[in-house]
Amino acid sequence: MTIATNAAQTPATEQTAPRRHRAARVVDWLSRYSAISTTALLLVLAAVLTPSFYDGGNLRTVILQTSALGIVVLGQTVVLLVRGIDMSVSAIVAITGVAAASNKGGESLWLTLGLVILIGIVVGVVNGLLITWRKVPPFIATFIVFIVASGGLLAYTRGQTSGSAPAWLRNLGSGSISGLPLPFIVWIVMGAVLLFVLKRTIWGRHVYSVGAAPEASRHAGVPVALVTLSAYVLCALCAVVGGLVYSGYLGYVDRNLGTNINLNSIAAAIVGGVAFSGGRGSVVGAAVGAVLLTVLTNIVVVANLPIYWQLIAQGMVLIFAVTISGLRDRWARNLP
Amino acid sequence: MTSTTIQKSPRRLEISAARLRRHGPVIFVYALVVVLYIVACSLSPALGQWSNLSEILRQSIVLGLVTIGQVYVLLGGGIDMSVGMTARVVGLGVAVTMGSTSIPPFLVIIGGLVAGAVVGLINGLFITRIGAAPFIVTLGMMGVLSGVALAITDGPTDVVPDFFFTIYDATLGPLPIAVIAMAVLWAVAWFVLNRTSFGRNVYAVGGSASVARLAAIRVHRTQVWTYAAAGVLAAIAGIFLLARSGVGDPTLGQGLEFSSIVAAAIGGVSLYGGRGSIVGALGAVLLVTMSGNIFDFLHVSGYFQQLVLGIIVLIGVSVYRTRGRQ
Repeated sequence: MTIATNAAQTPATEQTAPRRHRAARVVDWLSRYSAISTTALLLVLAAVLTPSFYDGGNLRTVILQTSALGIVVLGQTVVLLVRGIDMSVSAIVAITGVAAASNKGGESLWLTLGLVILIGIVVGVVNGLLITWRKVPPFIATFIVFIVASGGLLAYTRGQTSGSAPAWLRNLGSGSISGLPLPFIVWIVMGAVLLFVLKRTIWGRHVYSVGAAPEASRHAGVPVALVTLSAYVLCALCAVVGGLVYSGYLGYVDRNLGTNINLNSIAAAIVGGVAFSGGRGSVVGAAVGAVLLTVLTNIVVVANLPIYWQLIAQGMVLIFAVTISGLRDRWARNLP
Repeated sequence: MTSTTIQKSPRRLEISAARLRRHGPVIFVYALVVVLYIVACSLSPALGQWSNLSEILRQSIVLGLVTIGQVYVLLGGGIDMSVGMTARVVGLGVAVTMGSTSIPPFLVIIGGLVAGAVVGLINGLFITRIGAAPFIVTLGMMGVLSGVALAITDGPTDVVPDFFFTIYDATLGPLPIAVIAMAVLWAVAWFVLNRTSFGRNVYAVGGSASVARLAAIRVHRTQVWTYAAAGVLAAIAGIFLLARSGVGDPTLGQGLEFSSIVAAAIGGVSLYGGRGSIVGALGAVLLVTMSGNIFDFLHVSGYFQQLVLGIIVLIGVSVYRTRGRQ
């Protein structure tokens, strides 16, 4: 109906307008549902091509990996929403794992927890201050922090592997409550809380408004710097939890823990419809993105494909996602 | 006021506050290079000697190649995260092809350069035609290329043919030929940027794409060329790294994307596009290479180098406010 009226009003673009409109709708649909439809497609493909994907043990691995990645993605999503990006999450994941493993006996559990949370807060605050106060572009600021943090880890471990995770951590990683793996429950609870906070609190509304229009938000009295800073701290803390879960279910820790988390967490959020340009996206979409990335990675393993296909597939997912997002920005700006 | 401006010859070298402010970062970088040289000489006379200096120049080649490309991309308003992995794929690809086939090495090298250009073109086309965010596209490309590199080889390759080392070793008088070639390349990069319409277009596009479009500049084409240039230069860097080590190392080119961006930023190139100079970037490349040289001399363990360099850059960016878009 609208298409017809559009064409009638502007005879000059009679031919192109409806076509462009349709293309815009396709792109808009893809930007909303490509993650979930691709995931569904992958799950069907897995059933046909690699039935062993659905073995109990493998499904459990997929759920554990999805939860660990998903927890990091929650933080990355909030940072992307405020028009930022966090390239330091993989360093935080690695530091958390090594710090937890250094405490072999597990007698000072709270000390370890306190330490890793403190590290997370410090990293988040440094990121946030560099970006808000020193006006360093987010990816540069967080990447420098990544270099310093992983450099610090390298200096601390001297390249040695740090051995196995303590028992309490392995219980967190491999335990389950009424059949559901503990990391999965942690992820869902954190996601639900974040979803509520983003949709129903003032802080959440500020996050979206800072990302969509920082200048306008500032004029409207939103504490832009504070909101941005809090997003980075939240992201770092999510990465700390992610690091605990990773080292918990893997059972061992070395400094290469979480090497691909930067790329994967960004890819998951963006393929899940979170806009790189800020202000648009949801926790649910990002969660679907995390499922997609993990399933894709896992299928490569289950199908006995060479491991490098993981990297290629992850990179391509990221390029595909940002292509959809870019086309949507260009064509579908006026769609509801 | 007007009379004084008329009297002044435009070519006269005047030291005005405005000029100092405009070239501040460049002057600062070269001042740091001089300070670092003095520090090096006071640490050990050997560091100040010609043999070590020419070694520093030779060590600066790889970073220099990649940084020139990165400067073009940054000035044009983009960013290229894939240069390090482009260097790795081309380096390993050339090593494996020469080891396992009898294709003339000359053709293999040409093929490597073409591959670099293709990577740059793909980046550029995705970014301009589709309007995808440069950072993310090239980050995705970095992921894809790291997979491709792993597919080519997951261990050290065979040793490259002997003549290949001459790329690295040959000297002409007191200087390695590679250093002379690099100096010529810096000069060409400067000339293109400052004395040709393409260079002017790069600055215009990076300064404001919409204004450049109104001025009838082919914005997309200009940007695509900057990515292609970055890809080719990264490919050359990969081949040079191969010539330096002699075997295709699977970790080749690690971190080059970031060190090139940092070098450009230290040299005063705005990360938002449109402002900065090749001269400043050259100073920053020398600065970074010299500090690595001094670290090596002081036997700073490899485990600490990353931390120390990271902290220096961290202090640098927190003290000097990065100049944003105005």
